[in-house]
Amino acid sequence: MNKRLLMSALMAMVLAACSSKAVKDTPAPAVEDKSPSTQSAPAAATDSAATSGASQSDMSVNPLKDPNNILSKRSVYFDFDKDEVKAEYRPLVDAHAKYLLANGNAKVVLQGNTDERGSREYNLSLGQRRAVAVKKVMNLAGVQDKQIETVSFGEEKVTGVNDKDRRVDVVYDGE
Amino acid sequence: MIRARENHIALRAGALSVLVHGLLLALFLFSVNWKSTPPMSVAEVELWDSLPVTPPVRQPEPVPQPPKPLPEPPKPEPPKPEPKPEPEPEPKAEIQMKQEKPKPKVEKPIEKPVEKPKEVPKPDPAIKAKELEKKKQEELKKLQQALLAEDSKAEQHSNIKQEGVVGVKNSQANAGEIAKYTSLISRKIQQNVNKELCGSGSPELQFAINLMPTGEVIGVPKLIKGSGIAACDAAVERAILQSQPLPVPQNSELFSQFRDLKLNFRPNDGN
Amino acid sequence: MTILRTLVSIFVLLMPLAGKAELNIEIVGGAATQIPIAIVPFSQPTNVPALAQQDSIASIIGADLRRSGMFRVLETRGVANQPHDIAEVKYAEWAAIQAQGLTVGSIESLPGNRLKVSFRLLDVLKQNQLAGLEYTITPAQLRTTAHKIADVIYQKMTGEMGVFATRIAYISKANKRYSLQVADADGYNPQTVVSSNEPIISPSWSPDGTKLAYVSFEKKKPVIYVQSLVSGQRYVLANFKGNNSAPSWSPDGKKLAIVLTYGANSQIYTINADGTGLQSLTKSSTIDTEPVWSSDAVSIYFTSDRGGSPQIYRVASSGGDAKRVTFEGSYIVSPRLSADGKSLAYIRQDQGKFRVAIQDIATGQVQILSDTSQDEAPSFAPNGRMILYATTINGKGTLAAVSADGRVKQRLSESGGDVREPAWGPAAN
Repeated sequence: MNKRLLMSALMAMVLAACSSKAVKDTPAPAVEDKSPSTQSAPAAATDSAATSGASQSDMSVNPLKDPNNILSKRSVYFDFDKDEVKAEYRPLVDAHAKYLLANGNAKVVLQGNTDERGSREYNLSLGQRRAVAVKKVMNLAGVQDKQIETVSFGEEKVTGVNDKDRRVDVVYDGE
Repeated sequence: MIRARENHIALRAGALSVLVHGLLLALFLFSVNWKSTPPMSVAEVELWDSLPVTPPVRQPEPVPQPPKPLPEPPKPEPPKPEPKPEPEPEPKAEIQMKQEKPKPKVEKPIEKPVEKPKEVPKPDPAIKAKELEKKKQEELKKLQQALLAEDSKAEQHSNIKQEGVVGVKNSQANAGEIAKYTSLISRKIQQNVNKELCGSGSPELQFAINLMPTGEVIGVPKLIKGSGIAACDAAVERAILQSQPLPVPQNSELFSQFRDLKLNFRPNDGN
Repeated sequence: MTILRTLVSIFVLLMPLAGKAELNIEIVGGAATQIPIAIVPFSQPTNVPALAQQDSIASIIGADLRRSGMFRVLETRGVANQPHDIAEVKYAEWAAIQAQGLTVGSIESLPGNRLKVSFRLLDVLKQNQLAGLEYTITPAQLRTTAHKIADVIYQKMTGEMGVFATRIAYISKANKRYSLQVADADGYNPQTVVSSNEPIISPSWSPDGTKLAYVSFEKKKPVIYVQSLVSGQRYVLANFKGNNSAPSWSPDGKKLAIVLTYGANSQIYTINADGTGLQSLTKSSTIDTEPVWSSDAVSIYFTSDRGGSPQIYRVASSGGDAKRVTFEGSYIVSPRLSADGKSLAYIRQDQGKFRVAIQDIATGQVQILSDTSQDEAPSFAPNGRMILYATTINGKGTLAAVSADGRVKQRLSESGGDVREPAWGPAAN
């Protein structure tokens, strides 16, 4: 457990170093580069936050919004009636866990969703369990529950594309 | 009195006469209804006018009050949701809300007594029964007279004899006819039985009916064995009545077999 | 010898008549499936605009009886004599069109903008009266009165309670707005109970029909509300940490079974109707949800995937071990119980199709009822004969109904939004 923490801390430091390096290299174009990248980020309301963040400090491209960064990927997808976090999504969840460990004030809401088949109540529960499954992976990585909230929308936010609907979204506070 | 040895034939004739009378009496005691009139041709048409059924209620009965009149709980008001009190575009609901008025006025009718006008024809079945009795007595008398007359005629003796012989030969044909009409009656009634009203078990019912040669039911079917489900009993009874006129043989001798029937139902079986 | 022969002949001739046994005829099965009934248009005053603007009372009664699938409502226009009271009835004319039942009636004006509605239900074959009632109403109550008359007719002829005067609740989604609505059982007269930009699900009627519990996402998470249909007032029944959902009233209306997650997995609790006295009912590490009470309040049935996939279980309402009750099918959710306690309806997945099925609790026998394929939220009528449910037809959420024996199937047409989550209200008291 301690080794892991150490490793995570080390990696976090490396990441921080990397990101600051990037900004130092290209201060002026950073602003211009940011605009298209922030627009492509998932949450709409983050534009002002991101740009102000960028102008505020010359330190960080918001990794949460950086399309080159795994942290900009927010969705974990599931099989029908299942809540196991598949291996292919582990890196994604781990990445967010690390971010949370590095940013003690950051909080996430894990939103569980299902496709539209079956009953709404059962799907509400299934969505919740998927969110909890992702949370547990984060717990294993050392993240405490005070940084994580789980909610479920069940099938209420379906788009109709079943494969895309069975997912948990990682949504940071302020987004 | 005739001295036995003197007139052998007379004695035998007398004995025969007594025997025949006795037989007839016995038979009539066990209710054999004969109509001396030839049977009418049976048309597949409801001859309601000729049926001795209850006449429609003539007098205007006082219309009864409902056991509970319509005090309606006031219609639900569509409330404004607390967090978002936007004016909803629900004009329909708004309008319908305003039906609270009837509440105070409706309180009164509750007190009115409940009265259902039972249909009048309670005495009628009794009258009907009496009419039937009368008919029976008349037929009996007629028949007795007819047979008494026959006794004294030799020709008629041989006629009867011939008919008797023919009767033996035709018993098989009769059985066939009886089977045919039995099947016709069964099928016709079955078409009208609504087993949806008989639950999910395997109920059995038995009704007894009396038929006229026209195939019409005399009076109402009598429930001998019920299903235990009132709606089922009623449905089967309706099926019988709706199947009138029942197909019956025109031949009076054969028809006599169908005068009194026991109908046995198993509505949920088969299929 | 002649005499002997004569004797024999007479015997033979008279034998079939002598001591004759009655002929027994067997009738097995029955081909009829509906009761043929005629409903003569009621006489009514011509100077009451509210009457002219509405469907006629006879047409509402006819539509109700027809919709039940138990009646064949006959055309009456061809009969020359149109009676409105018993004295005017010529039974032969109605027997001639094969009617078994006949309804005649009249509407009269009363002072104060009131109406007197009278009707009689007659047995055409036995030529007697089965029912006769009179109502004093306002014109606005005409539809309800028609439904009540249909109930009387239905009950007299089928022996079962009629449900035409009941109401249904459902959620309608249109233009991204959700409305919880209550309408008559035939879909008329919908009224909005509450509406929101966020989803509303799981409406549940209190046993006395005066309140609805439901789950609303307006606080961005599922929270249970209880709202009075009489006053319109509502309160939060449960807003614990995590999800609050699946409310289900106890038969005496004093408690509800609900599902909470406390941030972990869904488990069943009971709570007083005023929101106090939370008590745990199930404890498992899997999903336990969709609790429903049996009418005798002894048991609670629920959905659980503790066996690996969702199935229906039963537990004593006082708590204890749960017992599985469904064994046919690999995915079964949404248990519902008939009022007589004999049948359990649910949604079962079969080869990718989600259908309404019914199980006999005593025998375990299962029958698939619906022929649609994306079914949800079954709800029994209070007389247990019909099951209302939600389905999708041509991409649109629609309500449908199927009889408990699968024989009668209906689609409820709805103009407007997607309709889902139906709940059939209790019988009028």
